[in-house]
Amino acid sequence: MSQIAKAYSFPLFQAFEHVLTFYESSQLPCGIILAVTNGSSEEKIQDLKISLAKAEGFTDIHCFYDKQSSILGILLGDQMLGNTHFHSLFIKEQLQTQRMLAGPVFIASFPEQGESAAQVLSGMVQEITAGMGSAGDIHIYSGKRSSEVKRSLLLVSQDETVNEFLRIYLQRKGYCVYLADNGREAWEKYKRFLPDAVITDVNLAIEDGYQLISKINGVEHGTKIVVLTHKRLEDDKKRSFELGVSDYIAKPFSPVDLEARVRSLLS
Amino acid sequence: MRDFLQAYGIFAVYYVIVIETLYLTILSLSIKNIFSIIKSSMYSRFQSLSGSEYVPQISILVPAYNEELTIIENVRSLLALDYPKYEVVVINDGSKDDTLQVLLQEFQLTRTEYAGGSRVLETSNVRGVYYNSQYPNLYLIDKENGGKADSLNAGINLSHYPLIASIDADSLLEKDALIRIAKVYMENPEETVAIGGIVRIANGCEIEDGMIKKVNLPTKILPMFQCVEYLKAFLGGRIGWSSINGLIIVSGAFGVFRKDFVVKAGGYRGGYPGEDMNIIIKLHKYMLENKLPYRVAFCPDAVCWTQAPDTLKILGSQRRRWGRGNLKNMLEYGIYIVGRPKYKVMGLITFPYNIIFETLNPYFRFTGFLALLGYTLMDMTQWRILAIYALLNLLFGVLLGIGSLFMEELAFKRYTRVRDNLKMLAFLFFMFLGYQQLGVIWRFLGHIEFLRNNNTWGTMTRTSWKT
Repeated sequence: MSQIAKAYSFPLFQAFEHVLTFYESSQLPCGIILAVTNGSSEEKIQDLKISLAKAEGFTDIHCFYDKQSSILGILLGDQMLGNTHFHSLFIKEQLQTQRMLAGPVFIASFPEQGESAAQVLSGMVQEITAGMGSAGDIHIYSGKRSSEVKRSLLLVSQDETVNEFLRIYLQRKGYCVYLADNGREAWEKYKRFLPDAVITDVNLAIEDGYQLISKINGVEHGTKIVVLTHKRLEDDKKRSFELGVSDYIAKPFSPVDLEARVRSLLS
Repeated sequence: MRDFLQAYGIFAVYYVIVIETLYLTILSLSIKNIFSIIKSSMYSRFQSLSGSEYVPQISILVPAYNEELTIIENVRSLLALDYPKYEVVVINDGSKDDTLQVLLQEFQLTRTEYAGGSRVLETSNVRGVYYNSQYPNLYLIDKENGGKADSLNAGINLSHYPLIASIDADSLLEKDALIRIAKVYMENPEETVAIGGIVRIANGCEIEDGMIKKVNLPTKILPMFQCVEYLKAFLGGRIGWSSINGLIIVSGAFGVFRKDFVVKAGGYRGGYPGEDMNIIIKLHKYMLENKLPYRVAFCPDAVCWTQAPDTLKILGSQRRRWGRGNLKNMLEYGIYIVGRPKYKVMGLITFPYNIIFETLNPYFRFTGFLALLGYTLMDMTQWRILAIYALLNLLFGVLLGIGSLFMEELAFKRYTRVRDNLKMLAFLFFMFLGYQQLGVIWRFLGHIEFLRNNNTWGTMTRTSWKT
C-alpha cells in the first residue's frame, strides 16, 4: 500500500479529512501536532481545546484522539511552523501536568513542509509509529520538506507602503512574510512566528528598532536581522552592527538587491 | 449724546472695515505664497532627507508641568520621529504629580553627572539630570518650578545641538514635522532664526500609541470653533506675515529656533505669559539692532496636533492669559519699536498693526458695538447701521475663513470628507454668534487681570490621549 493510501485508512486522517481538504483547497497554512499519550477521553480533549483557545486566543482548533494507537492529533488553523512550535510547548506542558504524555510530540505545518496535507500527515504518522524520538521531545517533522523550502520573514516598518510593496514582492519570491508597523507589534509577531529573518527599520514607534534587535538577539533562534532604513548616519550603522545585525541597507533601496542579500543570508 | 454715539459708532464701522481689509490683504499674501509652498514640498524628498547626515541636528525641548497622563505617549512619539539626528530633552518643571516617576520608570532612567551642555542661561535650581544609554537620544531634567520659560532655558543649557525645538508636552508631532521644518531652515540657514509649525486641534482624532491614526473633526462645539479659528489664524494669517518677515509669534506649541541667537537675545523670559511671542520679538529686536539679515519663517506643512480646551472655563483662562501676554509684550516693546524705521517691518507694520488691531481690538469693537446699540435704542429708525456693523463683521470673517479653508483643501487636505468641509464652513458662520464675542470679552478680562498684576498661569487640565 502506498504511503498516502495507508494514511487514508488511518483513523486520525479520516477524522481530519474534511478540515485538511479545506485547508488544502483554500491554500491556507495549517499547523499539525501529534502526541503519543497513555490514554485520553473526550473531556480531557475538550479541556485542552478550551485552555488552548483561552491562552492563545484563537478558535480554529481541531482535536482528535485515536484510541488504537493512542495518538492525539491537533490541527491549528492558519499557523505556520514557527507558531505551531510555539503552541506545541504549551500543549506539551498541558499534557505533562495531566500526566498524559507517553511519547514524543511531533509538529509540522502545511504547506511549509509539503505540498499536500495528506502527505505531511502520513509522513508524521509513519515517523511516530516507527518509534522515532524519545518521550517528551518536541520533534519537528523533517520528512519531505518540499523542494523549495519556504523561508519566513518579518517585515517591520512604519511606512505601510513599503511594507505592502515588499510583502507582495517577497511573497512572489516564495517567502512567507509577516508584517508589523511598530516595535511592540514586531516583538509579539516575532515570538509567535519565529521567522528566519527580520527586516526592520531602526526608527519605530513605541519601541525603537534597536530595542527590538536586542530583544531578538536575546532569543537563541539564529534569526538574521537586516536593517532597512532611511538613516544613513555612520552612528546608526555602527550601533546596528554593534548589536549584531547581519546587514544594513539604506533607503532608497532596490528590492532585487534586498532579496539577494536576504537569500544569501538564509542559505 | 446721540451725536457722539453716532460718530463713535461710525468710527467703529470704519475700524472694522480697515481691520478686515488688512486681514484680507494678509490672506491674499498667504494665498499667493501657498502655491510656492505646495510646489516646494511636492518636489522635496523628505524621506530621503530624514536620513541624511547633512541635516542639522536638533534638540527638542519639552517642558512638562503636571503632565503624568500624556507625557509617556508624547515622549514615545517624539522618539519615533523621522529625523536623522536629534535629542529629546524633557524638563520636569517641579511637577506636583507623578510626571517624574512615570518617566523614570517607563524609560528606566538613572541619574547622570555627565550630561554635557553648557550653562549659558540662568535658571532655577536643577535637581538632577537623568539618562539611559538604551535611549541615547533622551534626557530628563528635573528642576524646581520656575515656569515654562525657565524650563526652556534649562533645556537650552543642557542641549547639545545648534537648533532647538520647543514643544508642549500635550502636543503630538507628525512623524515628518521636524524634517519639514528643517528643510525650511536648510534653504537659508544663515538668516533663518526661527521657524514656526502649524498647530492643529487633535480633539476627535483617533490616537494610538502617540500617533494620529485617523484625522477627524472635534465632536464638541468649543474645540470645533477653535479648529476653524486655528486654521484661519495659521493659514490665513501667518503664511502672509512670514512672507513679509513680519511674523511676531511662533506658537509655543511647536517652533524651531537657532540656539545661538536665542542665547544672544537673552533666552526665554520668565515670569509672565506670552513667552513665545516674547522670544520672537526679542529675536527681531536683536537682529535689527545688530543690523543682521534674518528671517522668521513659517512652515505650514509641519504639523503639531494639540488638545484644545473643551470647557468655557479652561478656554477662558487660556484666552485671558493670551490677552495678558499680548498686552505685556506690546507695552514693553511697543514704546521702543513702534514707528521707528530702524525696526523696519516690525516697527512700521507689525507692531502698529498688533497694537491697533489686536491689543486694542476688544475696546473698539465692543464699545463701538455698544455705541451703535445705544444709538439704535435711542432712535429705532436707525437699526440699519447696527445691522451693517454686524453684517460687515460676518461677511469679512466668513470670507477670511473661506480663504483659509480653500488653502487647507488646496495644500494640506487633512480633512478629506465632504461632510467635514461643510461642517467647517457652517462653523465659520456660527463663530459670529457668540464665540467671537466671547473671545473679545476674554481678551478684555485678560487686560484687566494684567493691570491688577495677576500673572498666574491659570489652570490647564489635560486628559489622557488614550481616552
